[in-house]
Amino acid sequence: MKILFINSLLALSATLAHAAPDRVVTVKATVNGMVCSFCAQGILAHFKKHPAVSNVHVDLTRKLVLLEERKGKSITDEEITKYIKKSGFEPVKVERVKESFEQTKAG
Amino acid sequence: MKSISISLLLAATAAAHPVAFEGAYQLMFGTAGSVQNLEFYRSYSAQAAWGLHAMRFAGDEDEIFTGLQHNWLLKRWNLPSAQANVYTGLGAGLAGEAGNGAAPGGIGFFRADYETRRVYTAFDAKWIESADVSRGVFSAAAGIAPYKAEFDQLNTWLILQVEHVTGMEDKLDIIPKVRFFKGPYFLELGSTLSGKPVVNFMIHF
Repeated sequence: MKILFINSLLALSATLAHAAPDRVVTVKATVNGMVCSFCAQGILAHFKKHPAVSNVHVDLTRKLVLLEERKGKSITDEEITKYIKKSGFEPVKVERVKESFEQTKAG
Repeated sequence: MKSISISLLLAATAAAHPVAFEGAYQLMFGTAGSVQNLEFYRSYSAQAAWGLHAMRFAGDEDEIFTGLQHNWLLKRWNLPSAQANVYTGLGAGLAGEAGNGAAPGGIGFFRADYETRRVYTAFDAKWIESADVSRGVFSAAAGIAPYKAEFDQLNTWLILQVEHVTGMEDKLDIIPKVRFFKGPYFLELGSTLSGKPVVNFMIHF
């Protein structure tokens, strides 16, 4: 009985460990220089092409680029930094947050 | 009417950044006072672009330049609530009086700008030289946004521009204009104080 219980715990933890990367992750990047929506179109153009990104939002007031990752896929911090620089801006900080994309977007 | 149509189809754009984001195509056209511009660039990095540039100086004898041009972003300051830029560009092509042939010519420009979400300032200088054409276009502009628009909203700017074209009748054009942009579309509408229309359009894709 004890062995069965331990096996069940191990199976559960293995399932949870596998599920973690499968959840939808919201990425929040703080960016300097984004003062004009016309000039920041490159942010949208670059991130929309990335296969791991399902949603992009630019918030000029909070100086943020928000990304929603597709389930089971991921965009690296290096790629995020590179895409922001290709768009002509300066990345300051990249972080992954627990809140959903819509919650983060709503502030 | 014909000249107005040509003016509206061609373009003068002392309005926007001559280098866009990496991989972008940029089409700009417009008219301001006696000068019309048509520009098409490909930004192969966030610091450099190349493409086609055509300019027309309307007068008793219209002068036209057409050529290839390369633009560089020399320096950008990305600040938390502002951006400032310094650009330059050089081009080579043909210039001459309409109907009288054209000679090899060159174009060069320098541009500096500073903007926040509420304040805009820019200085722009262009030179066009050939055996038959020698023009300089100098402009300075300042503007304010009546409201802070978010990324997906319509942006509106009220801008006052002063422009001097060497060798033209009007010593100085004073141009009040309204700038709108949303998404990849950009439009400016205005008029010189002498009543000449100012229209600038631009798109990124």
